[in-house]
Amino acid sequence: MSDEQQKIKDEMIAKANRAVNEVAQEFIGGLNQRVTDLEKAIVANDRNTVLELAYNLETEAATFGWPRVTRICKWLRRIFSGDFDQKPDAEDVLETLNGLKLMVADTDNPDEVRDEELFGKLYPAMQKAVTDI
Amino acid sequence: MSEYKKSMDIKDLKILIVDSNVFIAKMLYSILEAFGIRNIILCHTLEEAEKKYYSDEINCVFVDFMMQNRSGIEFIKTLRTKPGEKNDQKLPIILNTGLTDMDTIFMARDAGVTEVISKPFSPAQVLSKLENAVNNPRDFIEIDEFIGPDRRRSRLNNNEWSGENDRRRHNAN
Repeated sequence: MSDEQQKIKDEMIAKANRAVNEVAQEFIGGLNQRVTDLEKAIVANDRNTVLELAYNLETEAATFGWPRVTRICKWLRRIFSGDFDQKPDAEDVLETLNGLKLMVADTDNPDEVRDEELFGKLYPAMQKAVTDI
Repeated sequence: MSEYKKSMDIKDLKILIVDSNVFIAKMLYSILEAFGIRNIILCHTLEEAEKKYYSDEINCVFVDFMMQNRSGIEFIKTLRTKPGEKNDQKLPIILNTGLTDMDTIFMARDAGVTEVISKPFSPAQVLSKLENAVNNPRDFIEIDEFIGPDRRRSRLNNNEWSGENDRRRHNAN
């Protein structure tokens, strides 16, 4: 590839990265509501909706820089699809869900230190249910 | 019929995105648009996508693995077995998925997918997969039990799968 071709390619990717950032801002603005919707589906034991919402959040949060949200949603998806190593207690599910709600409560001012500590506390129970989470 | 042409400029492609995930679909649309691609059709359901596919000429399809009520894999099989009058059976199909376990990858490969892109993906990855799918086609196989690009990538002299990227070299230990 010539230098000129590489330059064109780099410009295309830079432009695409700027476009992705705009979509990311939109995603962050609606994150809290999406977690609320997920909670409602879990409380209603609406398995299909839980799977759809959790999968969507799992993949989107990873894309837009919310890795702990991704891991919790992946865990919820695995639990509700029956793909777990040990069935978790209902309390563990609710505690994990509460942790998730706290992490997205103020998306304009995320607290990375608090969220990392919180995830560390939730992780043992999550891993007990799904070992490769 | 829209025929797949080797070394097509990606800006001239007409691309169908099928993804029920609103933000991922939007992001993919924005990425492709930033690449200069002007003809992009976005569908959030497989039913809608099927209608578009059979009524329009399409050059490449991006489809999500996990759709609302049907699997993206079934959609790929449909495109391979019933390409319709407007489109080529050899159409590049790229599966985007958050599930990267071996079962999913094998399912995708056996359904006749051209490339798999795992979420989360970056614009650079999208460009690489798209260029590879469009401009570096593998032999197309059509037998009773399989219709799709040759599953044996090792036959290709492709940088993406050779040298340091050749996983077989690193699986020996």
